[in-house]
Amino acid sequence: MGQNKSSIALVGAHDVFTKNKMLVYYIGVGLFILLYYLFSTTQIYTQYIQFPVAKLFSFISAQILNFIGFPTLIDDNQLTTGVSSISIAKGCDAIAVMMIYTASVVMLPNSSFKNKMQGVWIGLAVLIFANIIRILSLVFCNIYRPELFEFLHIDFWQIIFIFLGASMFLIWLNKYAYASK
Amino acid sequence: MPMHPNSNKTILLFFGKSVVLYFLLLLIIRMTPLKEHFVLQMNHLLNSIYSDILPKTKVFFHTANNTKRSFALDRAVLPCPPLSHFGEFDTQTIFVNTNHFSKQLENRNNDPNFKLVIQNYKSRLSIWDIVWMPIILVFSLSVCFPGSMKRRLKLIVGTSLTILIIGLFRCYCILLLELLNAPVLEPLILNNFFKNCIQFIAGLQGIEFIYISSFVVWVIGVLILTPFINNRLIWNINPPKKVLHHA
Repeated sequence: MGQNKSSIALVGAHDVFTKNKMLVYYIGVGLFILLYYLFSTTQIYTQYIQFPVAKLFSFISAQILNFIGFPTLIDDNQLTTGVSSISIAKGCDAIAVMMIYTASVVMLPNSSFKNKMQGVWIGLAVLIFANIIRILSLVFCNIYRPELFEFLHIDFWQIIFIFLGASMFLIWLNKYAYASK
Repeated sequence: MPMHPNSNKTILLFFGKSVVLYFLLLLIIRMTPLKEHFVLQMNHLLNSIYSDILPKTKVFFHTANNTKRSFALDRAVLPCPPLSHFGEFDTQTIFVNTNHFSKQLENRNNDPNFKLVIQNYKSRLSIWDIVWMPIILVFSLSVCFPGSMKRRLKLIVGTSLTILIIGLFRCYCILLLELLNAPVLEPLILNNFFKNCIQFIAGLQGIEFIYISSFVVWVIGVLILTPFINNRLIWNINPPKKVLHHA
């Protein structure tokens, strides 16, 4: 008695969210993506996240290229192998896919901390490894088949990365997210 | 505990089939003049919506390699040569300051020897990346998604329309941003909040973001079309079996 409409609506919303943990999860991941992209436009992100990550990827790729007999110079996030020169720009560093994957795993309700950590480490390792493969493939493509560079860069690897992140998440969800000891 | 795809094989098959279909469609489109046709159709739509929407500015969207490019201003039809080596962009946007143009026309009426100078600004866009490529992506995902034909059709129509609307909105923000930055056009007066919003939305044109946002739109479409039953997300084709409670 005496309950006003707004408090009834609030109780209703509270009921929906406490009963529907998955709905809260989807909204949470959606909000995270929005906030991530807002943050990615800032100078702090560019200076302290994007640039160091790009530099790290170019360093690892250069070490591999030097090891397999392709002398490579690095200048910040730019890789120069002979006549080929590519720079690891925003969007080619796989940070977005890694962030969204991590958020999707960490926010999942009813999964243990241990299972989540396993999912995060394995997933990130696979994505980092795949990104190094992507960079190396783009370097070789730029040397031997430069006409295919745009296709490989834009059409091929972007889609492969999104599908890789999504399939890894679903496989983790399917087999490991709720696995007991 | 959420219900999810019943096996890793289902997941890998789904993404595998989607990738194959996506690349197959891209191959067909690249081997035929379909891409130019799609871009041209989108430019017609953009021209019909946005040509006169900006204050004191007329906008023309031109497919870059179209040989019959021209734009009509008042009674004059001005031809533009086709553009080659346009890089990853497929569309040229031409902004004409109509305020300046009408003043020039007045001067011309007073003095027939007066040389007409059209104050314009040109920029580049990739309509293919903003609209068509994401539509091909959601189409491939929807076709390969396990479920009834009705659900697939709903997914294709719903997600494609959403992407089209998002694409139109992005194009509008890009136009506003160009208007804010172009020195030869009439200045657009907006407060800082709206300026920042426009810059943020127009700045999200990276190919990675376009792909991720399209995938997110598709996931939302799946979630909307998929019933939630006791916190469960139903991916499987068949509805879950009823749990029988025995006394």
